[in-house]
Amino acid sequence: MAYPVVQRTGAEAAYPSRTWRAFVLHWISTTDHKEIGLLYITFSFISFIFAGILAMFMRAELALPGPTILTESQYSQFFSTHGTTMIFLFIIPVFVGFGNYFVPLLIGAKDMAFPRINALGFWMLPPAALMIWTGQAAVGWTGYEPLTNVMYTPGPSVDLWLVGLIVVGTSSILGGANFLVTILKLRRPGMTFWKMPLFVWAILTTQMMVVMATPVLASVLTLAFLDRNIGTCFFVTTAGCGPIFGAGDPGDPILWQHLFWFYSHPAVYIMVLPAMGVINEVIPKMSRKPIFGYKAMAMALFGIGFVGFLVWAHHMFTTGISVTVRAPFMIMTMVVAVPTGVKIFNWLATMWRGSINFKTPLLFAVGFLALFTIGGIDGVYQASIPLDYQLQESYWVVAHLHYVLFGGSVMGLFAACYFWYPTMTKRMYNERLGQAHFLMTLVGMNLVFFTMHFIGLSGMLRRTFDYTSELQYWPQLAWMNLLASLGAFLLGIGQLPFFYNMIVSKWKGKVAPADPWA
Amino acid sequence: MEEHASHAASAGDAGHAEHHGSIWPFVLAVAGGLGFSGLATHEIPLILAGIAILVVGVGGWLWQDSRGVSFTVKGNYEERPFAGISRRKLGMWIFLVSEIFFFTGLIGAGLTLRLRVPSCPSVGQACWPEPASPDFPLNIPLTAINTFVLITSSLTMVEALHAAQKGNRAQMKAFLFATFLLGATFVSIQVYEYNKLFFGENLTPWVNSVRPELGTFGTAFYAQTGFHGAHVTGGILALLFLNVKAWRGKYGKDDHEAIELVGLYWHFVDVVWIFLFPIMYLIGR
Amino acid sequence: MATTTAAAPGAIARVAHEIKRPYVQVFGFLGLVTLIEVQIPSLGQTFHISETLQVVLLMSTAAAKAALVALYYMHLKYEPRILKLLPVAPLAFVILLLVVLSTA
Repeated sequence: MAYPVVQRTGAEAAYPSRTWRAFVLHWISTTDHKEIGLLYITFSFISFIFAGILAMFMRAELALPGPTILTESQYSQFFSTHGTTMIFLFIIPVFVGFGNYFVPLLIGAKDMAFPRINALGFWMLPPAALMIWTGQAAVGWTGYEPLTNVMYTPGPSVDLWLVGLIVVGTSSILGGANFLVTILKLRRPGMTFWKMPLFVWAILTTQMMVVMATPVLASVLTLAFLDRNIGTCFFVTTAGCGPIFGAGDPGDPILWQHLFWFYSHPAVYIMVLPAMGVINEVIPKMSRKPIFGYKAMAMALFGIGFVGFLVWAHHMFTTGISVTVRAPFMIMTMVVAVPTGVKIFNWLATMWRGSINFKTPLLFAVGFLALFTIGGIDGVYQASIPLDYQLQESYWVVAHLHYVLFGGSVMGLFAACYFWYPTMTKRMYNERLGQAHFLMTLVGMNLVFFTMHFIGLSGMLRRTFDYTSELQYWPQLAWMNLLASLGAFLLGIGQLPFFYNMIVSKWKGKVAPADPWA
Repeated sequence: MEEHASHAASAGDAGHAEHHGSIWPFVLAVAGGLGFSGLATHEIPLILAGIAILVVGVGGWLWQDSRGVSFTVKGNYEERPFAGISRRKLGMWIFLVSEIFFFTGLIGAGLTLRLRVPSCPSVGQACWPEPASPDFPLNIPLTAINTFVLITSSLTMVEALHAAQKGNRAQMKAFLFATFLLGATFVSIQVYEYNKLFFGENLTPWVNSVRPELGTFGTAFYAQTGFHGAHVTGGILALLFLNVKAWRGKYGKDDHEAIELVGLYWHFVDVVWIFLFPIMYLIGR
Repeated sequence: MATTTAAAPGAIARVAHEIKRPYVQVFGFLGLVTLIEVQIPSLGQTFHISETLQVVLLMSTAAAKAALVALYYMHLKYEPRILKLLPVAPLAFVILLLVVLSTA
């Protein structure tokens, strides 16, 4: 029996939540790791819905050529907020939520090491989200300089974005230190490192990366904030930094990219490693076989985390950095495929000749394997410097990153939601609705994002609001974009049964058996 | 795999009987939200409200501690290979690792700016002043003295911990107070120097019309030393807290973890200065 | 295996403080090296020491001072090996970032 139903008691007894006031007071003052986990998960899915609606608007705009339902500046705000929200307010915190809920259970700790800091880490997110959402900065999720500078984007929008992300980053660091101390110091007696569940290994690796990478993001955001508000000249070559000398002054926009990607490439692994951890738990359980190559899996997680720090400049091949820098980064990027491949083959070997239980968690896990492999191979392909010159800034990149982040992280997240639903609520979700959700997600996601590969190869640039002028050279963009938009709508509608299932099954679902996956 | 999970989950159940909550994390987050959004929108009242609520939040957090409300997770745990290192100390070291990366970002930015400009004097463009030249805006002897002040404060800090470990509370209190004074001296000298540089040498963090060529240097100088100074100020507040507690009879032979943790932070800030001092004051372009 | 946390931290410190620790000697060394560091720019000008060599010298002395502070004042020298590794291992990434920034 792997995941017995966990009774949620005690916490309620401390603050009986009979009245609304008591209910609110209970939830804003809780320091219980499971309740904070639920808060993280709930908050993250609210962000997911918000950013998903923005994506629907974007695809609606792009379905037909010419300006249709959005203005140009609205479109820029929407894709920027979509990206920032999905990454910083959905995928990263939602896995922090699952980690909060399950890491202490899996290692046998009674709570996280620092319960109040845990609560602080969560409560910093809603204000940060409010800042980012009211700001609606139109600078992409990457906030490239000098666009982010005050002379190109005046007003408080970018300031709110910068400050919001600093708050998110601080929350991540607090959470990271808390997770590390919990995992390193609070394992049940006898649980040495090589006995930890692989989900815990994944969270351990992820949070080590958070602690080392996020402060660099905090520092670069702070410097950009100083550039905007004090008039320092870290990233700008003109304007605030040298009306006296004119162009050619020393600030360096590429500096932003180095420091930003020093965080944001590891961030990709911060988003996908916990999903891999989930898959590590789902596949053996649902195949009724122990995981194939436990130690290799743990070391592969660590390997991905380590190499993940050595590849950031592959986002910058076209910026004119020297070839002696580019070449090693290209090689290291390709090296990431090795530990990733170890994991993919070990998962397949785990399923091989297993007695497979084809319930929704397994469907999403298999979906993860297929889609993440496509995304990963895209990555190796694009790591090649000459190819990157062609693909940079095209829709191909959008396709790649969504295969990794949606096909990888979010499919793993859905697997986690279904797999652990009985543990968290004592109820079963509706299997038929779960399978419908999987089918619509799989078809919709491939329609929108696989098509984007061809849109990109046809020559359409990402962050593009309108492609009317391109149609005379590449008429195929018209039907490709329509197809992608239809796929996006299917993907969007496909999430409705998920939310219905997750909310309604809490009360209407069958009571979960002792081992729901027996 | 299956065996751990079942064992773990049952162990997890047991702990919730002693659960209690804390409103103060929420209060601190509200303070952060108000203060930071005030910073972004240049609304002074929001910033002031944020600071006020921050004081309330920190006060409440410490008040909860002083009432003996413990959030420590009890139980027997597998601690190898970290046995003997307390959770707080491990947490402090992990925090210091993140601080290393924060300062790496700042120092890396300063390094990049330095490499983009020629050395001074250079006509009609930004340049980097040379420490050996008479035009060098920074005051090397004064800051060398300030460096001694900070190093001395590290010595008194570690002696305070040593005294506490030996159980010599009088010595401990004296060394803690000395550390606080030396830290305050460091910041005071830095403020004095900033004042001299800003108004006397026209060294500003932006390009000014009097010495426009020093805009780049000023940017790098104020960002790096400013964030270091902010960290020292944070350390001084922590030392103030330790001093007050020590006067009231806290800390001694069996209770010196707080001194050790603040000490770790204090020495880390010293290490940052050990690198920043030659980088900003002694190395030219 | 250690039992509850509250008792654990003091254990090592209590044993370690019996050893005579060279705090004052370290302080003397730090002060002396700082005195030398401050002379390097003017010495460099007088004796035409190359800028690169000056940078190497100053960064080595700074590294030596930082190591002493970490080893003795932050008492890493008396800590288990795993805690020594904790702040040292990430320095590889720090150095990589600085090297890339200085070449690109």
